[in-house]
Amino acid sequence: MAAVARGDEGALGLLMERHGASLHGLLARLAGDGATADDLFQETWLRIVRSAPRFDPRRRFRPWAFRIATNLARDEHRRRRVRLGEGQRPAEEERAPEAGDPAEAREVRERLQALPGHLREPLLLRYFGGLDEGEIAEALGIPRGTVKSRLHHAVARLRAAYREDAR
Amino acid sequence: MRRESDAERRADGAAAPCERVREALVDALLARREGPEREAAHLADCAACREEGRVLGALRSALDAEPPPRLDPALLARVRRRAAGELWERRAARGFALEAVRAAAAALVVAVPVTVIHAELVFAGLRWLLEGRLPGVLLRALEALYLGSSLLAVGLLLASVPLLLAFRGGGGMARPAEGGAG
Repeated sequence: MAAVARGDEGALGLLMERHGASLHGLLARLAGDGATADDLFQETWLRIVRSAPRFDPRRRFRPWAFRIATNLARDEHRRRRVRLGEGQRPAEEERAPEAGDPAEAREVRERLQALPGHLREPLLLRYFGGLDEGEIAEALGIPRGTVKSRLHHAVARLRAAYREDAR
Repeated sequence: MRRESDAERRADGAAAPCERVREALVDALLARREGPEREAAHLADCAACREEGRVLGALRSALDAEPPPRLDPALLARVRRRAAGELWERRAARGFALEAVRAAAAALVVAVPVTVIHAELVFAGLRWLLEGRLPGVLLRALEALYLGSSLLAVGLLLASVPLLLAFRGGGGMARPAEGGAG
């Protein structure tokens, strides 16, 4: 990151190669649709570049970058809710199931999207972003113990919903 | 020999292994690992925990059923170009600031001695021509005015050339193209 702060394009390329796919995957899950995820992906990297001179080298890059991405997705989610009206669900949750999408998977995806943000974000960061609990704590600015309990709580909610669906 | 049921175990105050195993099952799901091997004996023995493992396994399958969204290489390339453009602007700004400092330093180092020597020669000529005809105070004021304006003019002239070059060259770097496919 120090190299990126100095304007080193090679260092930036290396970071993008290493973390690009996981960041994009996470944003797609957080945003719920590909086009928004692409926009957020671009904005995330521009923010990373702009904030590089202020990056604390004692911190780890991955949680810092994922924090930027999560905050952007959260802002976008908020804007979308305002646009649609508080009572309505954002577009992703209304989209038609993809061809060949198993009903079970669709149901779980919808349940996942319906989880409150404070449970959904740690779960997505852990499961799809591959961050460990310490990194999630850094990314979300919450204690590690809270991350663990939220993760277990989120899985419990999904599992309960899954059991309901299975009946 | 009859195996203890989960309910019986709980009644005996031995629910802790089940809780531990279920926590391990959730941890394994979150880490995308297979079930906890060290709990295999308990899982073989406890139907409730086995069922929990089966449900979590099915949940994992459902989560993984949706293929991960692919990162389009064209998007990656486009974002990289835009980010590189931002980096270029930062480097250019740093480069220009550096050039400006260099130019000012060069102007100071070159302009001051050259102008002072030149002014001393002019003053010698002035004194030879005007000494006795003008009051001494006026002569010294003229000398000071001449020296000051000469320093300013030569300094500005010397500083403007490298500054202009730095400004036109963007600190000596070519800006990367942002357009193109993707």
